[in-house]
This record gives sequence, structure tokens and C-alpha cells, in this order.
Amino acid sequence: MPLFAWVAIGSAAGGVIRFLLGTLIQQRTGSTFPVGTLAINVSGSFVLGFVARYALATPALGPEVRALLTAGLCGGYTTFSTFSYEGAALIEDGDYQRAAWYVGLSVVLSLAATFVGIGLAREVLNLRRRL
Amino acid sequence: MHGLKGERVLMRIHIGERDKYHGKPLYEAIVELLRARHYAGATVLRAVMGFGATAHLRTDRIEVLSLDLPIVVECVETEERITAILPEIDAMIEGGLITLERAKVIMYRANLPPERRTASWEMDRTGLWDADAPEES
Repeated sequence: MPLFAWVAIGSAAGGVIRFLLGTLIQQRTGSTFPVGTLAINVSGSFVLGFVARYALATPALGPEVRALLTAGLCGGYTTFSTFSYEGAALIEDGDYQRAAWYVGLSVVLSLAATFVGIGLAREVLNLRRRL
Repeated sequence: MHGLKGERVLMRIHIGERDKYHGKPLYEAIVELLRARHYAGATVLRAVMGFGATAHLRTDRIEVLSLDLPIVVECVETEERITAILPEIDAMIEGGLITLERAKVIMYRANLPPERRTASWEMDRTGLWDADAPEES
């Protein structure tokens, strides 16, 4: 099976999870601030940070599974285009304060979450080495 | 063309963009029904935000909440004709809201060349609710 087929499986699952989870979060909060997309991008950044760092360090996970989890699952799950679109919608509405919060929180929290994921992967790898 | 001017009823049907009737959009099915029965007219409006009986928020500003935006179908007709169509609409709609309100039609005309215009062309500018439409007096 070519690598892109593994990506296809992962991104199909990631896109569906994003849609269902995003709808659930947005409905539950009843907010007009894009909390769903924010939560998804931050959590996806954490997952990718962990998976990318962890998977590269263990030969157990081959390139197929890595492609499925990273470019596929995290790629389909997180979304830069929706982040941009919803940010543009806030700017279009003249809602600059919420637009700034959205853009700022998305970038800062996603980067921070990636570092937390990387850090967690490092800890898990150290733990495994010691066992 | 029958004269519509005078005291009529405005029917507003609130449904969702994704509501279906026999596989086609419900708003389309309602408009087609009204047109097939030669009702005076119908207008479909898509809203930018709202919530209904399920309390699910819909807004065009959030991607995942923009996929079932509120739809309002408006139709102005005589009270008898509105009442007559209600059983059929009732059978087509699952969840939604329908309101009826009194409306005064002061103009209802198609764009015709001056020589083909009849008395019903004129706008009723009397401002009187009980002013009869010209063709009825």
C-alpha cells in the first residue's frame, strides 16, 4: 500500500473526529467565539508533538503508521484554513478584540501544546530506557 | 392575475437549511408546492444566526455551526388559501415554527407595459387598513 493511502485513512478519521468534536464543543459552550476550532488545533498540536517525537525514536512504528498518525490523522484533525476563515469572519465583523484573542491564543497555545507533547515524548522515552 | 391587494395573511415558516422532503431541500419543496397551486408568491430567506426548539446555535461565523442555517419561507395570501395549504405543509415539516400574521398588501404586480396594466396595477397609498382593493369595490 503506498504511503498516501495511509495518509488517506488517517485524514479521513481526523476530519470526521474534528467535525464531530468541533460541533460538540461549539454546541455545548453555546459560544460565538470559535472555541471548537481552537480546542482542536491546540489538542492536535499536542498529539502531533508527542507522536512525531515518540514515533521517530522507536523503530516499532514504521513509516506507514507514522504517515497515518502525523500527515493523516493530525493533518485531517487540525485545520489552518478554518482558523483563518473564522479569524477573517471576526475581522470582517469589526470584532478586532476577539479576533486578536483568537489569533493570539491559537498560535501561542498551539506552539506551547506542541512543546508539551515533545516534552512528554521525551519523558516517556527516558522512562522506557530506564526500565 | 388575481388581485392580492387588501387585508391578507403573511405566513412565515421557520425551518433549517438541511431539512429535506423526499430528498430535496424542504424550502424548495414548499416553494414548489405553493407555485404548483398558483399561490401569489413565496420568498425564501436564509438567516446568518439563530436557534430553535432544539436550542442548537447556528451561525455562519463558525464553520461547524454553519451547515444548517435557519431558513424562513414567507408567503402572503388570502386567509382561506393559507388555511387550505396548512395540512399539506404540516405533513412535510418535521421540526420548525410557523407563524401567521395579518398583513396589508398595498402593491402586487408584475412588470407589464403601460397599455396592458389594469386597475389592480395601482399601489394602494391610502394608508387605510379597510380600504378595499380597487377590483373588489
